[in-house]
Amino acid sequence: MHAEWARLMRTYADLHLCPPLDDLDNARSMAGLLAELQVRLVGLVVPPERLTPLPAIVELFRTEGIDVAKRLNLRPRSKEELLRSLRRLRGKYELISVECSVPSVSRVAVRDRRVDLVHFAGREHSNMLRGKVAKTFRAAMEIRLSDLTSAPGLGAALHRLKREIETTVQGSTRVIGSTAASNPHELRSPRDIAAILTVIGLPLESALEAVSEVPLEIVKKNRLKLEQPQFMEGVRIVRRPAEK
Amino acid sequence: MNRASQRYVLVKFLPSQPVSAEAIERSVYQSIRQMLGEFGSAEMGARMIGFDDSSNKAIFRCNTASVEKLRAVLALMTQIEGNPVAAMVLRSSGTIKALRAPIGRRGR
Repeated sequence: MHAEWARLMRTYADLHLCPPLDDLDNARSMAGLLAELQVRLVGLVVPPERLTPLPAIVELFRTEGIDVAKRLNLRPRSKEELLRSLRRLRGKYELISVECSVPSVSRVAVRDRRVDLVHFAGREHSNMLRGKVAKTFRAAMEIRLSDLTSAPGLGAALHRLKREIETTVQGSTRVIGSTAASNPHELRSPRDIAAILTVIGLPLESALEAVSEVPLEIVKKNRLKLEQPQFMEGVRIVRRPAEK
Repeated sequence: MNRASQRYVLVKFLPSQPVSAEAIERSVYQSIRQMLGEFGSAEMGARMIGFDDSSNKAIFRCNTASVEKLRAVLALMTQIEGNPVAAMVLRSSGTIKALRAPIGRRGR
């Protein structure tokens, strides 16, 4: 009974929103809709040059009761470029996602603990997930609704995604679902994204976690890291002895 | 023989231009058939129960076992009669009473 109640009271998140940062009307209608859909946390793509001062739309989301995590989408063309960007920008963002379009980038991105999310484009996806590679994932795999709604061949895209979901289930890779919406027409309810993930083969409980617990946990961990530097992974100062 | 249990969903449509209840109904059935085929469509037994023009909210009924599929089909809908549209499920319930407050029943 308690588990069922907890399921009903889930907090939902959409970790990928990329609205134009200066279009306040667009952002206002998105924020209103997200509040109606009971989304409590969003990941907003903010380029490094717009970090200070934070765009006004961040405040707009917050007034609707939606927590905003700053997100950076990296599209590196080489391993070196990825590592350089991570070194420079990791401390400024609550979320870092890497677009894996080159095998050398993918191999590093899936294992680097500074990368939170990886997104695969096209055939690179299947290649990386094949075999035992899925078991080495540290980053969560992002599945974007926009990949399905904007691509011309929905059937083929669903088929490819279904095969990949099977591999992630075998490899216990974490999955998150997001919309990658830039306007209200591209928004969907997180619960509906979970339904798509279920239909293509993810167990219902994992699909629901992909739009609630998993994204919330990622942001929570990163905020903790940003507030308090860690000595090493999982080790941080809890309290200091009182000075005499 | 027991009647199959039903589930009701409250769906908000976000059209770029005003659309009629008939157009929405037609597009949703077409999407269901396109994605699940005739057998899947028959198994789902989806039906539009009500629609409110002012808020663009509709109530759909479907077989309990197919509610996730209905959600998925609605989420993947991107247009109605060539115009961009977004459909999102606001609530799902086992009884129509919980969803019906803002929406009148369609004439039969």
